[in-house]
Amino acid sequence: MNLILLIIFLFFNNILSSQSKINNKLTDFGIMNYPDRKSKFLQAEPKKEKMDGQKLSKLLSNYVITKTTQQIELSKRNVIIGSRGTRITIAPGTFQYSDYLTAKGAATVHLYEVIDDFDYMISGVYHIYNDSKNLSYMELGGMLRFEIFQGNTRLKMSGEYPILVDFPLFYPEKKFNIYYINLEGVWIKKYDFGSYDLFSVPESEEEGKKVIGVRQFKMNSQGWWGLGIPHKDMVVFKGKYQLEGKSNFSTHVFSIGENFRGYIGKWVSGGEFSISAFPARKIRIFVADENGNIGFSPIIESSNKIAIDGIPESIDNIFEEIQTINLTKPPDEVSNDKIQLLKFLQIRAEEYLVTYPTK
Amino acid sequence: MKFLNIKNIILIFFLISSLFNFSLTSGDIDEAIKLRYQGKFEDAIKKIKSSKFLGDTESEILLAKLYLDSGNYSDANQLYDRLCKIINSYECFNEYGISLMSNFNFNLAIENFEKAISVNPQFATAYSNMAMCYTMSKDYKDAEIAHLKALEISPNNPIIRINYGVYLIKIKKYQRAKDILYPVIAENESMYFAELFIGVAHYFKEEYNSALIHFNRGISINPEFSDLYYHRALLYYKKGDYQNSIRDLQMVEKLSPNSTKVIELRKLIRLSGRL
Repeated sequence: MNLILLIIFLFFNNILSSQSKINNKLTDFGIMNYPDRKSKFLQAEPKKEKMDGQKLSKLLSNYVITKTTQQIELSKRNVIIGSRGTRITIAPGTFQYSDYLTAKGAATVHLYEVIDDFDYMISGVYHIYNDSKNLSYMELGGMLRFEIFQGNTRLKMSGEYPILVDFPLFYPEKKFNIYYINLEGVWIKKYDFGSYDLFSVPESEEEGKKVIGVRQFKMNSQGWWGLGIPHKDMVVFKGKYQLEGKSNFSTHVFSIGENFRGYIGKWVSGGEFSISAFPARKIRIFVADENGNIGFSPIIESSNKIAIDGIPESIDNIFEEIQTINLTKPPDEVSNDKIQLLKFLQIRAEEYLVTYPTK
Repeated sequence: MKFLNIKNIILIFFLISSLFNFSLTSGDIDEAIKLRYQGKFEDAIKKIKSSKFLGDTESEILLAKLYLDSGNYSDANQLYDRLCKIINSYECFNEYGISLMSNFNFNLAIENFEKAISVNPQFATAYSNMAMCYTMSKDYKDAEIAHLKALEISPNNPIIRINYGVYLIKIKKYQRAKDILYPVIAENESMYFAELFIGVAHYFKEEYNSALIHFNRGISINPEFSDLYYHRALLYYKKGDYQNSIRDLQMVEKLSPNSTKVIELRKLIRLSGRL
């Protein structure tokens, strides 16, 4: 019976299927493709803004995200724990060379973890999610970037064996989705909240640090992965900035969440800015230029007046005004020392211990 | 007023009427292209045939493509045979090649893919289509060469990678096929066709649970693609789940009423006394 079944399988694999789509014929031998030259009727999707590789201000570009580097043997199962608590488990046969053959031998893993506000500020990554219907800003729950090299060659993931991730569980009550940045630099949703596992632990402290669990998910591509909750409705703040009475220069303006994690940034020039922020939240707004100067607002509580940055102010699109932000150049000993700089910028850093599931 | 002699009046009238007719023709072609992108091939064919100016190259090449879309290969071949000589474009030769291949005229199809490549040596798609043609004519050595050339020119093109993966399944290199196809779905989650063939590769490796996962994923992406149900029906049959197998065959019949595949599998289920 098995033989008959095999014959049927093979025999009918050799018959052309009748399915056809525009400019393609889907057959049992593959896709017969006959592309057009550009047609005006091919409604190309508007190009989405690239989210990674964003320009940083001079002061922040001096810093790089904490990276964990580890040598692994590709034929074995490998477990790597990042310096900020992210655990990744790699199965044998996970990676390929560019010719799609399974990579073998030793390789070097680079794991970057974005946990604190400062990590987001130096990541050069924006967090706008565009699902072609809506454009949303993301409330954030952490981010990681994974890369693997053999010598100078970046290996590819085969996709057959995803990497298992245990990511530190901040804000356990929040329903974060999980996204990744694709080859075009666009955030793509991979998992809805509820479709990945949570490993929670009872509230406790060890060594003066809170103990947290993990969110567990699978990665099937390298690059940036992040936790986020998209918000469509935002408020907009407007204001002015200056440095010693001058304002004729460009600055990076960004808002940072105070009692939650959020990072929204853009470059402006001419002494005035507008920037989106989450409604009914506490935030601070920073401006930083290309000469190492930085300034920031006090903590501001945003209203519920929904507005859209990028379209002119009107009676239906009201921006909330804040006081002028004055930029200053921090002393060198502050600029060059992360701990002092965090203190200067009044940015908090998380201190925690991670407990992992045993299975 | 000398300007308005009878000769000039006729000339002006002719020019105006030509302009009017051009816009009419152009409008008809635009309408036919729109219909084509809506998948209404027969309506598009009617639109072009009813156009007063059927016979210009632009409308004829569109008509040939519509014949190819709708599976009317003999009419497509007639048109392409004449038009490709005139316009000498790689797209025309490639389309003619596909039409011939679909009509099982493999030698002439390969000739046309070679012509497409001679016009545009970087047109990886023609290599990939030619490779399929070689596979269909059981020339696996030349198929491999053509697939690898396509991949060399366009290593990231998902269609070219899928086609190579399908070829590897045909020559029973199932693990290598998975190595090629998995990255395609990792990079683009809407590739139900790649899901289908990853499922097939798992099936042949007797990894039935993995095969089922990929057939299911393919169906969740495109529930209208009957081949996914057909292969899942085979898989259910293999696992002894006759009820689900028959349910999937009913879906194949619904989506592709003329499918001959179903009849054979139904026979098999009947023979085993389960129907």
